[in-house]
Amino acid sequence: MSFGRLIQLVLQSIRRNRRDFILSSIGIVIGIGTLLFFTALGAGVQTTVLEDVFVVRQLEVVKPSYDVAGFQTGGLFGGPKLNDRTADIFRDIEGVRTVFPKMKLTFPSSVKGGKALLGKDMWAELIADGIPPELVQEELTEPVIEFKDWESIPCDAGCPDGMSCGSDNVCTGRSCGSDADCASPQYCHQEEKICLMPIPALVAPALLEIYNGSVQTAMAGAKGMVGNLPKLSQKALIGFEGEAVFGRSYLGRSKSDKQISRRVKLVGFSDKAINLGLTMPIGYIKRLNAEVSGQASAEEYHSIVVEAKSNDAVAMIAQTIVDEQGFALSSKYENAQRAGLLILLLTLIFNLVSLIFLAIAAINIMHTFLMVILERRRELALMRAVGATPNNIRMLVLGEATALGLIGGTLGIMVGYAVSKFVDYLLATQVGAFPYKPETLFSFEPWMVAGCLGVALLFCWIGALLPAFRASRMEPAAILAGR
Amino acid sequence: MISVSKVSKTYGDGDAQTRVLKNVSLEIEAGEFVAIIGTSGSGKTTLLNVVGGLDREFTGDVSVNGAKISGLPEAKLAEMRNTQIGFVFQQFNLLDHLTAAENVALPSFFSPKETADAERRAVELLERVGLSGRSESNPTQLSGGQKQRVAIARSLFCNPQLLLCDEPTGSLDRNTGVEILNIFRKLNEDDGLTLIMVTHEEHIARMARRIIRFEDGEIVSDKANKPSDPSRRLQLGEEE
Repeated sequence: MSFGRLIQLVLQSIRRNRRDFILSSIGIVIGIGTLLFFTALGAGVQTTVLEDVFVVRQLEVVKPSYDVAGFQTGGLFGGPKLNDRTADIFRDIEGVRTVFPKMKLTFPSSVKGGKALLGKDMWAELIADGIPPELVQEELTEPVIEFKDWESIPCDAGCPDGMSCGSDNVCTGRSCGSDADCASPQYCHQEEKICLMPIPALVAPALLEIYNGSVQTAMAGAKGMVGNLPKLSQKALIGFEGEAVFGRSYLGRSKSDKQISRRVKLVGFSDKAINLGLTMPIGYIKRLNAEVSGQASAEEYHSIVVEAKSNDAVAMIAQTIVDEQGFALSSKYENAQRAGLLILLLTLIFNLVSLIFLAIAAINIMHTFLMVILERRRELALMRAVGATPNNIRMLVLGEATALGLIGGTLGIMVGYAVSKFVDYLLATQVGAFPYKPETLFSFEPWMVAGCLGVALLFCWIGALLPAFRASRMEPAAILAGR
Repeated sequence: MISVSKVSKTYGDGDAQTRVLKNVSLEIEAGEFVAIIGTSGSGKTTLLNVVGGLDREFTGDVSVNGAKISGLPEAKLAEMRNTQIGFVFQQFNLLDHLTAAENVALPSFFSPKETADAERRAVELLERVGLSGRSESNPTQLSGGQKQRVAIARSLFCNPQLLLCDEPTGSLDRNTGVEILNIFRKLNEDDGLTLIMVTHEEHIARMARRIIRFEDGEIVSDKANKPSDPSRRLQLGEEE
């Protein structure tokens, strides 16, 4: 029997047994809908947790610490160092996309600003680190000012507008008395009396999430100005400026007692930014550390972030860094692993529930097909009499099961997708803001659709297998004779 | 054409065992019109099913066109049923969800070679059995005689050489039965089709040119017959 003729026969049977077909497909629709819903939910939550909350693809390598009599120490001889040579070693590990060293400010600092947003300037402690600018250039498409070290541009590269070549072959701003003397967005530094570019800074999206999701909500009932903190968006914050004082804060002063003031401008949001504080081009941090804390503090990094090409490569890279290189990973990695495992387990449990639905559906299909075949035994016997082989009969029954699987599976996928959209709608409209609140809880991938259709077909075939064999083994003579 | 040699068949086990065919042997030549007559349970339908390859649980040998049925694989046997043998049943066995033409074309689904324009051939066959214009009718819209005509058209779809008819008039009134028999006679005389017809009615059997009488699973007589004209007998009001 040709494939075309088989399809014709299958369609005839479906038309004829429409009611049975619909009843059988309900179980498949529910099972596949549930399977897709929970698989996409698991993947979506895992994406949010591992890529937004923990950013598991980025491993933060820190110096190892050792327990000595209950105290944690950096080791008798200080342990391995995180410097440019170490960064090169990490860069050569298989599966590593890129590495970026991070250096933190090593002295107290503070920042003043916020009048434009809050109506009044506020002082805050400033925690800052630095990263290489090229690591964020792709994600900062149109920054208000370019994220780079504006105070170390070599003259050979050509000086930007408003700057000219200085004595040490580095571009420098012109002398000024007020901001009006400088080409925007430069400002006039009141102590040095030269035009300077504000230090471009980045903030982690997580910080904004925490502010909107927790701080702003918690402060809503406070007295005074903090009781009126607005909800903020990334768009509203970009371009925000503050006056930073490096070397002095509420908590203390630098050991050298040196202070440097600079204007800081927020130019964007990035996952590569420090979780709490500002991230600047690493050149500023190195220079500030050298000037305020001494040259030694500008030669060693505080951490090196190693970014894997894919999540699959993370475990192997982590093992190489820890076991072979003797460094440690920040606790964030272990937490991410635990969270990922938990989500995976939950997804598996929910998928198991879906598979139970499908198993029940398969039993239902088996029962229905057995009944249908009993009703149609005369028809099947006649087919045998006019030339159908037992294999033709098996193919016919399995063909009907295939149609059931494809139609039930497709409907199930549509139902699962529709329910997920409804849940997303409820999340957006009925659930308040919380840190890392995603736009969608679900992550749909093409393999999920293909997998669900495959599972639908599999369970329909399992359900139809026994009826198909029973149908093919019927004795046509006995049935046609009415025995 | 057909050779049946020492064929026996038993139903059931132990005390409930029934031997429906007992060492039956016979030869049927191509182009014959044979009636197998006997009472209910005499084994005539079982023999028909054995010859048609619908029943393979027997002992002995059966050959159709030189091919031994018991030795044929299932696929070859199905091909033989499709291309060489046509079946006509007492209960018509039409599929109610298909039209008359679709019922007639049913064998084309299982034909080893593609049937060009199966629908046109089905309509032609329906015309040949006197059902012009009824090709789109469903079996539920047809009378008993019309249903049997559709069944005959279906049996002829793949140009078989052998037609096996199991009580073809058993569910029809006498007039309609005669009409159906006339179709069989024409197929035998005009097209040379070999016909084996199982019946329990004497006047139906007398239509054949050879009558084999069955009793208790055995052939008790096998005689040539001069076929009567049933329509004439009907006009004269003769009764069996």
